[in-house]
Amino acid sequence: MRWYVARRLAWALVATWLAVTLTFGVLLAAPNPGADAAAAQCASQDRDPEQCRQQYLESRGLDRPAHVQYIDYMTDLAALDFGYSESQEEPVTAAIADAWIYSAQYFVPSIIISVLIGYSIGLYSALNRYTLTDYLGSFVAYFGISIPNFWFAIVLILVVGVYFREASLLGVSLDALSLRTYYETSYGVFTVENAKQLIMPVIVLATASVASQMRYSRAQALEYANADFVKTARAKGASTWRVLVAHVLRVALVPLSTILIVDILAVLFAGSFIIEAIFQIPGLGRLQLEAITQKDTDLVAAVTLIPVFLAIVGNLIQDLAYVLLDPRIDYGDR
Amino acid sequence: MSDDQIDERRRRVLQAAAAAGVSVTLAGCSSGGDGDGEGTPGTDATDSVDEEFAPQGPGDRSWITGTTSGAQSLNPLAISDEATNNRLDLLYDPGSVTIDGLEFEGRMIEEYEIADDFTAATYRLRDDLEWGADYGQVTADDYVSFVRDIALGGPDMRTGVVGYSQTSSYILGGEPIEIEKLGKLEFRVNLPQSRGFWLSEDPIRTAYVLPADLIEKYKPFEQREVNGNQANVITQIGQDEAIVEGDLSGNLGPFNFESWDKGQKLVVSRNEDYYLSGTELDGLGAAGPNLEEYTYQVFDEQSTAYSAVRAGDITTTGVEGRKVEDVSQSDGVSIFESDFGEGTFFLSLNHRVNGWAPIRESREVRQAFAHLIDKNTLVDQIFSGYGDPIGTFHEAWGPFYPDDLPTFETGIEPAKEKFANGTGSDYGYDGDTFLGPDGEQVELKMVIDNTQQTPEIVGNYIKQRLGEAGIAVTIEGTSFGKIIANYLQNSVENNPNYDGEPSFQASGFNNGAYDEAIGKNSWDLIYGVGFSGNPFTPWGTIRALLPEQSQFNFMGYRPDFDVSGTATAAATASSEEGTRENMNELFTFLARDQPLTWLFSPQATVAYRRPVEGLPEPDSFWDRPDARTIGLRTTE
Repeated sequence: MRWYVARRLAWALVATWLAVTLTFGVLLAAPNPGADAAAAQCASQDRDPEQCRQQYLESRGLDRPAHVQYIDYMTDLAALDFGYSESQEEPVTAAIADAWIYSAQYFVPSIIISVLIGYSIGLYSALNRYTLTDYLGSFVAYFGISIPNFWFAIVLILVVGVYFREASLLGVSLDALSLRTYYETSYGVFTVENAKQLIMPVIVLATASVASQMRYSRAQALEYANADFVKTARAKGASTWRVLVAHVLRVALVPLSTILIVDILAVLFAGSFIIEAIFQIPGLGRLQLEAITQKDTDLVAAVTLIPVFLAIVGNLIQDLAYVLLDPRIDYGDR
Repeated sequence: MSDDQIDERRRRVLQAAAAAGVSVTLAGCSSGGDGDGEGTPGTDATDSVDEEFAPQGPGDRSWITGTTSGAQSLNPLAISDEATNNRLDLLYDPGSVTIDGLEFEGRMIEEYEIADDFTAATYRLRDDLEWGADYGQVTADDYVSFVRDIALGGPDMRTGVVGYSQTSSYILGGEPIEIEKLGKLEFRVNLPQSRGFWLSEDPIRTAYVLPADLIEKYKPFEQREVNGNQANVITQIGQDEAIVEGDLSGNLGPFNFESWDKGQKLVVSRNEDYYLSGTELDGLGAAGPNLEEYTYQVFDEQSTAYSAVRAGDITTTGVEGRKVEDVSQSDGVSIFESDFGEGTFFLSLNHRVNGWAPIRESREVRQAFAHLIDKNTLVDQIFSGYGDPIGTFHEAWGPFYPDDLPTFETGIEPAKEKFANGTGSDYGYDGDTFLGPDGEQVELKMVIDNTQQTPEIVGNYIKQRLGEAGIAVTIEGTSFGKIIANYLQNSVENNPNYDGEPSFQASGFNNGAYDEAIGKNSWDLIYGVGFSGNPFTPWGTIRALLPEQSQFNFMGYRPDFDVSGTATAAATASSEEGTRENMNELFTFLARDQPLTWLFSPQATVAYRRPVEGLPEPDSFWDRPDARTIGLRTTE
């Protein structure tokens, strides 16, 4: 088991190195808007644009051979020196430290909600196939998958943020149900105001994720719905929820946990760009987007590391969790 | 409209009084003047204040301006965008502001006088201006140091220090202006040529200067390390603690710096020491600021800003014309409308050798585009009517817009006729299809900025109209940055048919003659590039864009008219009449020659929460609420 973990950790390092190298290569090959801007500014001042471009590149060490830049960069990275963010005008670590808390505030609840609700609906649907609740569950799933995040977010803001503030139902004002249209950074993390303004981003992000968790769990649970041990449990008088949680979920968790990490990372990270842009949340998604558009190399590389790290560590934890979920799995001989 | 329609425009005003050669005392701190009829608080430029209105959100309780562009810096020397300029306006007053085309209002500069021959101007500063961060009183030394060391601080005194972008305003006819100190609060600027409209062009009047002692700290100017990189003096000064912490503003601006979260928001609070507080100002009454706090909130997604103003979460935001109806549906929103929008929109035509040859060879072909495009339709579709068609390079309401411009009847048939007549015998119509020398249908490549909806609408419309005239169009969508890099910037190296040196190199956008330098990719039409017509001083933009060897003549246009000379004659005329005559001649030529297809200029539309007080009557270009911040107030 220890040997297995050690090998997985070593592989984690290789994967991280590959991801960072790829990112570095792509950024190196892309045009540099900072240099272009410097050149354009000089052109407008009757200066030689090429000279200005060169000065810009020199001042940032970007005129050096690619391999020198690469070695330099990797050396700094190994020393946990992530460099300085041009776009944020602060060290990369400070920029990430400022941003992650905003992402975590809606990211973590979204994961919890999507897993809890997704699995619950999926399992329940599996054991109640072709019933109204099954159709309802499927509707929720397909709605969540089909509806574009950006559209859902904009409509939700319009309905809950704008219309609720002015509308009434049966003479009762809906204002109390309305929520802020965008994220206000001055509220404390653990305040009611902050929790309220996170409701819409969490709903939007969780919707897509709930749907996919629900579909997977339903499919897995269906495999066991007519298994002998389920029939036995029912015959012994176990309630539906006991059958679901204690018997079906237990065995379904192994395959479900396999897809959980990758799926959540894909849905949530892809969604975070959109969510943060629309709700104006200054988190990692916006940070990365800005870093990419401004070709802030140091920041792009550092922010790229976060999902890579989460994916690698998540996969490792998931493999180790197999042992707990299914005692038949043993890494002792690997 | 950008961050949105705010007031760089104050830089570009025509000052008739100055042109008449009289001594001008800026109204500044005294009452008087006849600035009435505008800016009367609570007038019905928009809905008046409603006593019954119940505040709905934070935007009704404190001032929050929603904007889609964040400031890049708070360094007064590094202003290259309006967003930064607008933020700094809250912290530092300029020398003076314009309240309409004929009238200035003093701020830091109390009065000035222009010589009868328009070759010198004398300025006097107020005596109650104090820098923050212990830099003491604002004096003439600060202005002299700023102009000599920064604006003209390059090695030959004809360029600024590296990184300063406004130097061209201090060079007239190729020669720099000279500045000299006359007294503690008085200085004089000597102009290298007669400039009847100096007061409207004057960069000193709107510059954000710095204390001479602060500039002195960074001498000698040389590259130094800032945050691990070698940085020029502008960047070094930008990192000075007094600037980073916003301490420098002292009593010089209506607000004090509180916090800045780049890309998110800037918060400033009322400056109790503001030197103008309580002073009676023309059209404003007693100067505020009346707001305890002012926030600039950035929105990446404009629809969120629209929702926010409808919900009362912000106080104001600029609104695209086509969205006005949606946004104004909310009871709490009123729309400030002004005919005096800024910007001229046009279809760029490629006159270089990597474009369709008839464009550069035939005026008739260029006029055919003008026949083809129904500008009223574009205005209706894009701006929901909040715009005006233009026939030349000037805003429709601009002070120099000629009354009797050549016009081109909108229609397919007149366009087809001119396409046929202007292209010679190699071309011709086969039924409804316009064929080229190779016998195939003529196909043009149109490049648009597809990151925005407006260019897509325009692109599709033009494609449809050209299709009706028998010409096929391929639309290539790309970002604005790539349009610049791949199409506008040009070089002889991109031209396989030219291997000599370019006959001139004006800039990266005009790196040689039309048959020498070309962009990386070929193109025929581009929509998505625009310039302000600078309505009150249009000669500067025209000289930069249209003469054959001008900096931004990316099109490779070769006018058969002395564009540069006429524009210079207008700028240096000693009377308003002289300027008007020259501009009339120039604009008429541009309307006839159609080097670009002139399309429209937008009107200004800004959404406000209904209880906002102090909005001006939109009687002139300068009657913008955001230019009158110190007079605005919310309900609470």
